[in-house]
Amino acid sequence: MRTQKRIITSSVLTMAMVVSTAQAFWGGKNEVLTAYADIAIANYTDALNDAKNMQVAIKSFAKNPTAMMMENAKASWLNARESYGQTEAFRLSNGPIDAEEGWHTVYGAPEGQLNAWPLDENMIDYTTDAKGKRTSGNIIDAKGAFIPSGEKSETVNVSNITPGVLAALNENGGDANVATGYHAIEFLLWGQDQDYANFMKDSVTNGALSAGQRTVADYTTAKNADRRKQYLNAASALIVSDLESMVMAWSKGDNSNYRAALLGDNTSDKNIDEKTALSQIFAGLGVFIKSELANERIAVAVLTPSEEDEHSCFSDNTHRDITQNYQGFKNILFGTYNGVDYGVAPIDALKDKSKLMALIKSADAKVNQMNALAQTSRHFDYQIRPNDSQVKQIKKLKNELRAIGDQMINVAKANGVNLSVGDVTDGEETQL
Amino acid sequence: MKRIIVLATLLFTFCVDAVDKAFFEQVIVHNVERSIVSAKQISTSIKQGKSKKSQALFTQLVRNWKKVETTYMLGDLNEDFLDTPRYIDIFHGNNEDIKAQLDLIIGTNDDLSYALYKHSHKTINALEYLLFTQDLSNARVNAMALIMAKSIEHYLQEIKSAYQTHQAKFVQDEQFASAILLNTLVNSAYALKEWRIGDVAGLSKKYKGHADARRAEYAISQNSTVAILSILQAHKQVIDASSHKDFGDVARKFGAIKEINKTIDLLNQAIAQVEKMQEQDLPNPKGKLLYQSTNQLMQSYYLSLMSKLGFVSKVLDADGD
Repeated sequence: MRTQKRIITSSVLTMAMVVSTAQAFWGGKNEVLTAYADIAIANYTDALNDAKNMQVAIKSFAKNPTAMMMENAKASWLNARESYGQTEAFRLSNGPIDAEEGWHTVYGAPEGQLNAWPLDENMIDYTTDAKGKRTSGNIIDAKGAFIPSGEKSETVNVSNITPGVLAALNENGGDANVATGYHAIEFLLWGQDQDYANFMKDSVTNGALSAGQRTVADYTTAKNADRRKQYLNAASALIVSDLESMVMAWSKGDNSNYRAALLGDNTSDKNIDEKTALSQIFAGLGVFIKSELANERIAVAVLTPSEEDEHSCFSDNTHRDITQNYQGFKNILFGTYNGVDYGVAPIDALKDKSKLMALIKSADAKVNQMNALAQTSRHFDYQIRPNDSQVKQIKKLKNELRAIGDQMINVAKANGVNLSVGDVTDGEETQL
Repeated sequence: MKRIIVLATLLFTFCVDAVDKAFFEQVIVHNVERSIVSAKQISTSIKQGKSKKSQALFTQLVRNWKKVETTYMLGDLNEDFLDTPRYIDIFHGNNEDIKAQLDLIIGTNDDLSYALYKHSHKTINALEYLLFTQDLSNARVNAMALIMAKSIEHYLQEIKSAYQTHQAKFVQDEQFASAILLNTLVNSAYALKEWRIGDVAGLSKKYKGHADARRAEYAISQNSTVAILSILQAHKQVIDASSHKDFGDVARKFGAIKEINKTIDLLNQAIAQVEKMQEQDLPNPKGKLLYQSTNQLMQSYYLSLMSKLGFVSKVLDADGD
């Protein structure tokens, strides 16, 4: 983390600082944006490399489906989530990962294809339903044409499960019809963890430290074993290609890509106004930490309570999702990534950092506690059970993350950008 | 989803108590106590298997709980209590189909302490479904209803206890108290006109032109207008009470005489309208008139009054879905 600038009250020095700050933001290369872009390429490159390693592990497992190879594939998925989870802080900022309009949609805006959640796992493969019966009528057991549930869904031929087929199925007929991305792979590797009848009974995979228990037989002797292998390979290939697209968008040395446009270096007249870019980034960070992470990923799960609404509900990796999402936010706020200082950070301009830092310190402690308990005592789905002592802490964490989101208004202001509460809040967030 | 968030900051210092201890005790705490009594009475009635009496007591519970909800400020006094109301009431805050879930639970033999694990299963909305659509003489239904009533009482007791704990924080800091009080009124007025009236009458942005009585807050028990009247009466307790110094007095003290008087007129107008309404009037012309009155009430709060008193408001008016 960068050393905090001391406030000097001398009028001369104050004036010098103002000029310096103005130069940093409105003259020459904007250093905050440069650091942001540098962290983005570092983070997405790591995510891509980790996804490639996962693809190799999955291919190896598909070729030689043993219990050990299955564990290797799972380990590679868990590892891939560590870097990808941090990249999520680049979402919601009209950037290439999820821009809904603009020339940079050419990168595919692949967020929904990479990380859509929560998903209806019944569409992908069998589950045990609320009455204890095994479900069918999914992509894996389908022959030929498959019609996803929901209104206006379109039929897809699933005779061969390819990246194109999965892309055509993804969110076809409804948001829950997720066929691609990390969580589809997660389900195919771990299988169902949730007891749909009652998550308190937890009769499908009983135990506070038990995740999904899919056996390797699903890839050897079970019916449709080869289709599951096809599915895993196709889904991991899509993740790799989507992340390659993100690396292209953020790569250095390309004067026609998104990074160049963000930094005013794009030679194709696509440059983004500096103030607009900063505004979108600060608002995006606020919405991400407040509405996405705190509300959708934590509050809905803990206040319902609902295992279905925890992020990685098959592998019980939700504690890491929360940790890495939060870390991604801090990476950008502090201008650091993996211990490396990337230059001028958004927080540097904030004169009084005390409130924000106190919130971060307190949230850090709760995230650490959630992690420690998930590894030694009980997974996130047990920590959110009514009467568990962690419920209160997780609710506090949610409140603090929402407050940190609101603090982005002050961070933005310190960097010359005016935002409102509405700008750092998703108007469509789940009402609780 | 359309909603409002008001961030209020007082720009000047009140020289007198904004609202005093009497207000806190006679309105805030008193309303909670009355709700607790209602919850206890309904528990007793359920135990006795008295279906009609339980239904009548449910109306009383709605009446008292809505007052507590309308002036709920505990989350601002202690964030640990930010989410407590949703453990009692999930109107407009939950996408689950609790009716189907409750039907499933009634049809199984699972231990109820496990089966009713969701907070939504123990809310006033769940209790309404059981009391007005199920047979209370059925042992399982009766046991479920009792768990719900007890849960509601439990959280009301928590609210009362916490209010008493944090009374000093509210009474001693006039600026803070005034800010959260006005903020609460604005939020309540918005939810009233948009969700409880507009969504039903087809006048909200979300449901414009598509009235539907089933969207009413207590459509099953036909207590929606009871709830609306109770909400408006709670507003009256805050801005136009005769028994204690209230927010209206503070507003006058600081020159917002015209503004507070207009707000009170609008409030009284809305109360008079709803007093003449039946549940079935909500999607009809009477509902439209009430929507207009409550809309003006909200505007009066957050534009006229807030501005005159020196509040800075930032409104999130997200149309969303």
